[in-house]
Amino acid sequence: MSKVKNLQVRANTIAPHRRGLSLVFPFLFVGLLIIARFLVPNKMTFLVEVATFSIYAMGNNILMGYMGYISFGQPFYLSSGAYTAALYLAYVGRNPLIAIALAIVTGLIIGGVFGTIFMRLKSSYFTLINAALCAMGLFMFQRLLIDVTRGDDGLWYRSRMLATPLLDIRFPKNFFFFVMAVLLVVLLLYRQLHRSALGNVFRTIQSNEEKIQFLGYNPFKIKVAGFTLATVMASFAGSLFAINFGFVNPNMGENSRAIEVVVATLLGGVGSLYGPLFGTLGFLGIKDIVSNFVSRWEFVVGIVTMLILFRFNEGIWGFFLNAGAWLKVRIDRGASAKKAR
Amino acid sequence: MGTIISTKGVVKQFAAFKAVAGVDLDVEENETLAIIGPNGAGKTTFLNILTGLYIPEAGRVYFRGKDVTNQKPEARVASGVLRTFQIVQVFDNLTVFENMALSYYRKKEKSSMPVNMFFVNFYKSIDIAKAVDETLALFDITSARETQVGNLSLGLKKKLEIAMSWIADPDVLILDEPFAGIGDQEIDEILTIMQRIQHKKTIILVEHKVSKLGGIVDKLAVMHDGKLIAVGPFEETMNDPTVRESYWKISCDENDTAGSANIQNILKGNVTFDGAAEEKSGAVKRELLKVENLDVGYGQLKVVFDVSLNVNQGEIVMLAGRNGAGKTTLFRTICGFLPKMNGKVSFNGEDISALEAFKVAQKGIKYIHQDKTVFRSLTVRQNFELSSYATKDKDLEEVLPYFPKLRVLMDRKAEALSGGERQMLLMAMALLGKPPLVLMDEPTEGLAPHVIEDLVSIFQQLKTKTTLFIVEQNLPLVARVADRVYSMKEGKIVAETTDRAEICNLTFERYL
Repeated sequence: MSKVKNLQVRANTIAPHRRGLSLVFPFLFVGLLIIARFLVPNKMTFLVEVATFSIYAMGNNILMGYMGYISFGQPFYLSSGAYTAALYLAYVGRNPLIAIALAIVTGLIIGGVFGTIFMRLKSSYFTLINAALCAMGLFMFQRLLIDVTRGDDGLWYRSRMLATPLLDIRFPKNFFFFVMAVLLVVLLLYRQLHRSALGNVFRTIQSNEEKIQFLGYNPFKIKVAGFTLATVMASFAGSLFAINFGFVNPNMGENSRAIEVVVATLLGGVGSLYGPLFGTLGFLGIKDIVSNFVSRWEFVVGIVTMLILFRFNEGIWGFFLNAGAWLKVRIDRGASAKKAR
Repeated sequence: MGTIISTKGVVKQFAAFKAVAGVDLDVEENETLAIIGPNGAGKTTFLNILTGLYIPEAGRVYFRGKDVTNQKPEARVASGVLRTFQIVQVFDNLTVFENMALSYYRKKEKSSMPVNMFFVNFYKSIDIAKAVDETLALFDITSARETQVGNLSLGLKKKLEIAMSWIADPDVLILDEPFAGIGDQEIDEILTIMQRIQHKKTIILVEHKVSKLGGIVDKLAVMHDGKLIAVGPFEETMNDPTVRESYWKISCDENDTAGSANIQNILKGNVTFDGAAEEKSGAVKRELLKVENLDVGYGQLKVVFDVSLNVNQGEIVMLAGRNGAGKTTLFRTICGFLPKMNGKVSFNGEDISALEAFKVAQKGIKYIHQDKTVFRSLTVRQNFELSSYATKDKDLEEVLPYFPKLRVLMDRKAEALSGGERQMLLMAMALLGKPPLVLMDEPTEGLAPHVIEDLVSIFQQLKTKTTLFIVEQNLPLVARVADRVYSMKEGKIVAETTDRAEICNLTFERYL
């Protein structure tokens, strides 16, 4: 009997990925972002950037948090999506929705092709070869395709010329709502992924790649799927950036920016459901505030990252969850004490 | 009834070493086959060939008459061959429920397309929950349903791994040492489950605890040096002269009756007291390790409660207790891997409870892990060199006489060592620096009887050299070598004795 009791005590140590899965959260977070837009009207561009970047970070979280592969090549996938959308809008058509769709297709193709090659490597080499690809991609956008991308000068175009059904995104304030709606859909899908068979299979890649074969799954296929998903989310985010700014330049795909998305994922809480969103908010927030005072804002990000790595390894979202659990215990205790009285 | 799985002359080689050298074996449908053999006989390698982890250099593997030699593991799982591993393989970062659900989902859904998997919600699917709950109840692990597997004890992980294979409704269930490292009670629970599924499924198992197999095994296969030396009904094979020669190391020509009596003893799990530890002179022994009122826990959860114990110089002290009793936690605390909550650990009269692990090791306490970790990609010699560098002592010759088998294996890679050879390597490595105290966590887990015999004699020889503090669940073994026995239950020391007569009569109820 007491053995059973012992187990129940241990059952309280809930796996981190099983906490905070409530359906309320996606609506709550998007709602808060919308409220923030009206409270601080001049921060609208910032909020759009947060929404877009967090989609990028969510993709990276699949690789890094679920499967345990760190990629230093995410900027390449981001800029591929951005350039696909930009080239379409600059030379071919005007419909931003088609631009987004094309960027997603690009992400699928790039992810599928490079995934089947890169996913044969061990995780440390995977990190490096992605960095190499990123450097090659930069060269491509900067030099090889200079005739269409205009190299370092960047490519300017009109990104929001057509009225879209339901929401006319020609107006910036409407584009804001468009991005919020997109973020909500992505969050809901991400929540589904987090709780699905697929999400759990991704997590097994991190802990025991050999065993998963003996349950009948093909680990290679799963890894390629995860990589492709991350790539698609990166290029999707890239196309949103391209439409938001009406301008792209190779700077977006620079190697040195690879660390941004990694840090944002870490900051929010690796492998958690809403970590990427909070990590992005934290990362871009620090950048936004600190750069008013010091030009090298990266310095502060570095210190915060170290703090996270050594002290709060569940990140911002994990901290919220822990604080919530702590509060709940307090409240329950208070309630039972009252009852006892 | 027909042959479900069969091999024709399979060979697997690691460099120059033939791990499996031509095995022909037919397994009938719905029978239970046990493969036994000394460590290093190639049993696990053979299972790896059956399940597709290794592709043999020569020979074929057939499943239901179809050649599956080059089929990948996941394809074999899909056709109904499931297995567990000698070193338990579960997903530590997932919960028990998720581990089970992953296995069930794959078997039920013929498609493992990522797109389809995306739409299956693990936590809401009634179908999955029902199947998982039924199996968890069958294996008596329901209370751990939502626990993250990394927090479970080894015994529970073992059960979980078998349950994971079981929930996928296998045609052939392959178990690699299911009883290694778990207590008698848990072994009996697994046996009960196996009896229930016997003759409904084909079961192939590799196991050393032969005494437990009598009731459930239809056929016994004995492997030695990569070859199958006997296959047949259980009792008959046990009494086969070649089997005795290789496995039990009992020669038949001198005294046949003694030989079979010995086998009967081994079968029953009785081993007679051979007067290993004669009473020493009345001199008071020096206290080497002293643990006082120690409390240890993980976060909020307390695992070890108010433990006090003594280890005197030159003693062999055994710590018995079931899985999850807190034995390993206690060891890890003594060695400085885990912080204590309260209490004191002193070594040679000096408080070591606040020291870091490497400093404790420098004081001369060596710890041999349960999971038999060696540097896999290095040779035995390189392993030795690494460990002797750390202790600044290169005198291998001091140690090697105790482990004659290792001399032959000096240039073999550690990954090609069997479990018993690995344990010997670890012990030899630990002894290199002439440590005053060696802690061993379940050294005999998963070893063949005659290897355990070797270890016992090594323990006895080592007594003059060092002090041993050993976690052990094998009570007959404890009875033979221990000078002092502690028993732990639910994190507390529940019994202690130094009395020889009492140690010899250790009873199951009291000590486990």
